[in-house]
Amino acid sequence: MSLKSLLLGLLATFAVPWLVMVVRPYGHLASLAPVAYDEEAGDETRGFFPPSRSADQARGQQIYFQQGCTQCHTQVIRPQYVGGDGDEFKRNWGEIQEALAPKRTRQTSPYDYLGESFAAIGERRNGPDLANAAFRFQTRQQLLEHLHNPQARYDWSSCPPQRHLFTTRTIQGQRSALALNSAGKHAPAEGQEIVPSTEALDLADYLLALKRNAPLPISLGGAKPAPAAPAAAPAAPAAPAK
Amino acid sequence: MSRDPSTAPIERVTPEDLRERAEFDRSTKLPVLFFLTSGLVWLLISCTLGLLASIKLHSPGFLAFDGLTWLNWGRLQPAYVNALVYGWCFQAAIAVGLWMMARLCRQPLKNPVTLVIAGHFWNLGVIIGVLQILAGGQAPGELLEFGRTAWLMLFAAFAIIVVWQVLMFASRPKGSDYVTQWYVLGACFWFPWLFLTANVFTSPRTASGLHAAMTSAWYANGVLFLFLVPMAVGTASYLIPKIVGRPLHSYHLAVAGFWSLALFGGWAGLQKLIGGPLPTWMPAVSSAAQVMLLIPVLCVAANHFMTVRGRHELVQVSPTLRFVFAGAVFYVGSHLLAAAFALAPGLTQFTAAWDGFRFMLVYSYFSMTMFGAIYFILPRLTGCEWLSPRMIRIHFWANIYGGSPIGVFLVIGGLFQANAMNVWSNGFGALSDMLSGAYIGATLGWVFVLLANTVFFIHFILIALRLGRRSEQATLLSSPAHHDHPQVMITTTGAEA
Repeated sequence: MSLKSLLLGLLATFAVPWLVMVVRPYGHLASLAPVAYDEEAGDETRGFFPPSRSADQARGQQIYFQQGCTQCHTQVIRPQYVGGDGDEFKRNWGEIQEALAPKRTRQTSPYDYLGESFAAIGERRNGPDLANAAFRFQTRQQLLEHLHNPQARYDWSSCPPQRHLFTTRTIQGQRSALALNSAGKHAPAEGQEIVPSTEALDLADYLLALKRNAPLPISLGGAKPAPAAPAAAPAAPAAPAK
Repeated sequence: MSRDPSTAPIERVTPEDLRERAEFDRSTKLPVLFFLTSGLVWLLISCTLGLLASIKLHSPGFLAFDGLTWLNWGRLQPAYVNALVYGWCFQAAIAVGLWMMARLCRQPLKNPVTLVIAGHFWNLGVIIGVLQILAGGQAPGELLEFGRTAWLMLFAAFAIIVVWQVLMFASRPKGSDYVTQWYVLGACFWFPWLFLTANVFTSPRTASGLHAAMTSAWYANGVLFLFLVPMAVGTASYLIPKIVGRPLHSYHLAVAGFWSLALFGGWAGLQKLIGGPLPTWMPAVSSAAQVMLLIPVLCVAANHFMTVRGRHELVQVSPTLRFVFAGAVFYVGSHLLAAAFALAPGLTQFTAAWDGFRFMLVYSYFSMTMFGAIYFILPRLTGCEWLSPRMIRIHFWANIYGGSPIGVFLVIGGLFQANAMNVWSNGFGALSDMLSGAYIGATLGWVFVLLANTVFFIHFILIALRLGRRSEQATLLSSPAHHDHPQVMITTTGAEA
């Protein structure tokens, strides 16, 4: 085989999948923009889908990537046909199973990753899925303490502590409002306090914004809300957050 | 003279040929030894990192001191994988590829020093990338964790290798065509394209992060199936006829094997994201392509098997053939697993099973084949033979008893993991308890692999320093004398040369 025919053959066989699988989808995916909920179509929510992201979130996601969080945590809720889990995903599949406030989750949509420089779908699930991580923490302080010492909350956790994102320092005057209330082995010594760095705060803010509960607009194939039985159940548990 | 291309590497050897080959080998010696030595150093580094990462999976408290943040699992895992792939696999492939191409294109390597300089840049890129990962600066995307500082350096270094390979092929004398050359050139064609595409489309300025994630999945699969696989298949296609002393069984099967790989390879990869938020036809097409990649496997495996047929006892005798043979088992095995995972993605997605299959392909298949090639090449470069059949046997068996369980345990563990994850009432605590058995097994495997490669590294350095045996007789694992093949004289000047 001559060099020319070899190159032509390789070019022909590789350029086609390259165009179809990589180049062409870029045009489509790059053109996605937030979609307005349409009241007339039947959407109950107002505003845009997905909710906009802040610059802090982008910084926090950067730290999430740099620390290798994606190696163990995914952020995707798959449809029923994958996973053999029937409709378990509707019951917060892949999360820590705990009695938490009921919430509305759904399969992830391409729009959920708008504004991210890299969709944090993740590599494997050595830890729970974080698509809806924000629901698991009541306060930022609680999340920061979890990042500082994951084993305090779950003794089985294999999550590496991110203590390098915190500093231990002597209390000067008043104790910092951000200081952790760690107890036990990782509590600060007398007169000391543990405070989060900017990176830790960015990461925490990012994680606390991970909520994929905004309903999919009907124009994107979202389910029509069940016709509300008038006055039957005014406080239905599945009501979307306003 | 019309020569069937498939017979090229084993025609009757004349003293003139031997002088010529010695000249080609002299010209490739410097860059080949450079890439092999630095590749083996990276192999030892990545085995150490891989062992630590494996230990942390079942004992997260191991070495988890506050000052040792850089050994967090989220950093160790990508550091080990990238050091293994870019540090060891690529450098081994480059070295073996250069050596085979000079031999097959019947010409000395020109300007070998430039290649050594390119090799320095390659290593610098890998060092920067691995340190950046360990220091907490990894980029997202499988096999793209090195980030933006390293990739241009790696790309430039690889481009130089490609230019050399293409020039050698373009100026080969008439009639010197062999299937190995296509595989080497194919790998030299696919990898830069994959690498450039991946790095451009995962740029932080991309307009779609989702597209970046998709491209990285496509790229990671491409590195395995369009770089590592063709390099190893090309190497095996060169070595097997040499050692068995007969031409490749079928030229047509070889052609079919190569072009079916080229045809389907570029479509696979997105099955990793099945169920993810991308157009559903994309993972479906990728899954189908991954299954179709069994066609080249069938062609190549049948062809190689038929070539060795009737001389399988040589697997007992020749170190090279034994490693290549073991690799071939995992060649078929890892492709079967990849196809099965593509067909039943929900059973394995996001679990250790994928790590297991990737390890089988990258280590148990690709690396074993490269070890076989090194056993063949090094005596020809240095003019002395391997010192000890025992060390070769330790290297082989420790890799078999160590490397195979890592892949197998991770695959089986991953299947249990997926099954358990899909039951909503299972907490993650139960999950980690359940998997620790498989992870402990994998750790044990890593200990053996590290031992095997330490022994091999020592052996390699001794031969590279020309401290090997001075003999006309190649070092064999057992004496071929009791076999009924008097024509198979495995010496450095005989059929194996």
